[in-house]
Amino acid sequence: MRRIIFLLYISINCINFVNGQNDVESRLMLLEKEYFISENDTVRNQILVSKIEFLLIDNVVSPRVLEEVKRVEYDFLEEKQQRDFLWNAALISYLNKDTYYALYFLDRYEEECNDVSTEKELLKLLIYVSYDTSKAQQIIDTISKIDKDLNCLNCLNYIQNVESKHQKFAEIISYIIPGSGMLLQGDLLKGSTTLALNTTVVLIIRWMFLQHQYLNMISWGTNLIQKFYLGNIRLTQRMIENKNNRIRKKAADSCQANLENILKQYPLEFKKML
Amino acid sequence: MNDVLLQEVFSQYELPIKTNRKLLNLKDKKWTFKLNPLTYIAAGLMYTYQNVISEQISANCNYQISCSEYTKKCIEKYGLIKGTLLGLNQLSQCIPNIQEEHCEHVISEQNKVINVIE
Amino acid sequence: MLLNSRIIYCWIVCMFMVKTTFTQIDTGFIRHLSENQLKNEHWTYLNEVKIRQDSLEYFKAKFHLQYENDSLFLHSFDKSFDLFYKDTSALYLACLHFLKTNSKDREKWFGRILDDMTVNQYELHPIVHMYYYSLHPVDVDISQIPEQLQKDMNSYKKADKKKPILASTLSAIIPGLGELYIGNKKVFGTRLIALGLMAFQTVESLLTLGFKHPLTIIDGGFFSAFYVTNIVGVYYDTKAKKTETKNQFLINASNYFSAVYQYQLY
Repeated sequence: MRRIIFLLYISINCINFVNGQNDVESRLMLLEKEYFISENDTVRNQILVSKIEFLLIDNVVSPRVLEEVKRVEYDFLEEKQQRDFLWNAALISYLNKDTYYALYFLDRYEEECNDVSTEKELLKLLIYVSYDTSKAQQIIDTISKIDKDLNCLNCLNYIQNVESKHQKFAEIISYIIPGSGMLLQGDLLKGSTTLALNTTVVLIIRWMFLQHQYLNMISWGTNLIQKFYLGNIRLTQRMIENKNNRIRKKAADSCQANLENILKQYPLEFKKML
Repeated sequence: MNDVLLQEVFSQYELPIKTNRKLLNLKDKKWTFKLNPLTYIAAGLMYTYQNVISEQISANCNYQISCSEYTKKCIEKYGLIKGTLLGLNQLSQCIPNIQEEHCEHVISEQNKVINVIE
Repeated sequence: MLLNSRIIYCWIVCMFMVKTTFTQIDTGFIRHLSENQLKNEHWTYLNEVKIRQDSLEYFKAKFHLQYENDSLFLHSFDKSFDLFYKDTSALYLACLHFLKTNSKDREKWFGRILDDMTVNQYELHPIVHMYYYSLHPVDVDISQIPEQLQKDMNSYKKADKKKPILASTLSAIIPGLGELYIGNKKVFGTRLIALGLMAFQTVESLLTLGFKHPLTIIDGGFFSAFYVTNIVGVYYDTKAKKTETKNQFLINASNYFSAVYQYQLY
């Protein structure tokens, strides 16, 4: 009798296994079903936390995790769990490029626990650096007092403000002599092409004037001079921007090594919520 | 985890990948299209325009597919004559505030007219 | 022995019941998944639940409708149309969705709906009516259309009446006139001025420099190319304008009826 019952139990489990009950998506679906059935808010939020924990197994932070984070009513969590959740939520939001939520969760985290760790300040710095450089500078100054090695993080702010030399002068000079701005910035090919094209247009218009082709002169002149002259200014601006991007990329590469070392010392990790 | 964070912090400074415009798409085309020398002349002119002249003039097209790109695609699809005419037709309509003469649903979020090669 | 076999029998029955109750579809749960937009969980649930094939396809069709996967929706709809027709709110939500979808799927969907409704002699719903009107705009009595959509219908009717050949002929007589005929005032102005200027500068160079001079050839070439474009282009513009106004009418109709009926998928 016992054998038969045992066999029945095994066979039912096997059917479930074949149906894919054990894979990740099935488990997430079953957790969601538990959430749906449950009427207790504490249990429901526990289930959501389990789902988040489950989704974070491989440290893959997809937008789906952020959606789950937004569903959690963290007031129903226990004190420690709440703190860990808020930390994770800030980190998840930041990695999903949602700065608004990242700051919101980090503020709540600061309110809930008096965390003065460097890791927290580091996360705050990373969130602020892309849109409020003065605030980021304040944080760097604060954490540099704790550990002098962290002073190298000034490079994060430096990347934001770095720009190529004489860029204003190059822009102004391109208004006076077309192509000269580009020549000054070091692009000989584009600069000389612009200069040649603009000169040709002026010569053509002059030739038309000498040939008494006044209608042709007005028509071609207004079209070509406007296009090539304004084009030269826009191209100079675009070139300066590209050059700035290249300089920023170079600065970012050296800064990346600094941050990598800092993160080894002060790792920003997800906290276990269960 | 550190790699993910570093990627997040520094991905914004990555330089955009340059997309090289193709000279001509000859795939699935008729032999008449492939052997026509005019096709190559037109495509060559368009290629020179797109890579040398286009950046030199203050080209600010009001259409989502720029006039030169549209002409090139039309030539590929309809042949030299019809393609050029359709391209020139768009070029002559590429005037300031042309969006006002189109319906709401064909204006993109960047305030450009959405043009489709049917 | 008898007792033992009874117990075994009871066990099998119990297990069977457990299995069947587990696999019964929970519409409340599906509604919950849909409202929270839990796409992955929703799809997993539909793949794991064991129900009749047509019911399953019905729920899959609704899933694809919510996440706007038109071709898969039509595939599932084909396998469960009996059930889908009974669920009027889902049916009309699909109609609202396809009204604003500018693709061949729209023709496929409404073609089928119109055929089925005519065969079964059902009264056409106002949403389906809108699509029907878009097929025959000339016969439409404007008073039958909601006030908010009358403006769009009028512009569609106006665009539908325009003849491409006539537009081309008008453009051949006076450059850009065909564009004015189809309602593009700005294009008309630009073309008239640009072609006029091109014509005058060609004449100027022709008179002063002669026929074989490069400037005359360039001017003449530009004028001819844009003159021909002006004639041929307006032919295609007339057709494009018709499609554009039709789609605008259908999109606005879809938005209007979505606000009026507020159908729920579950």
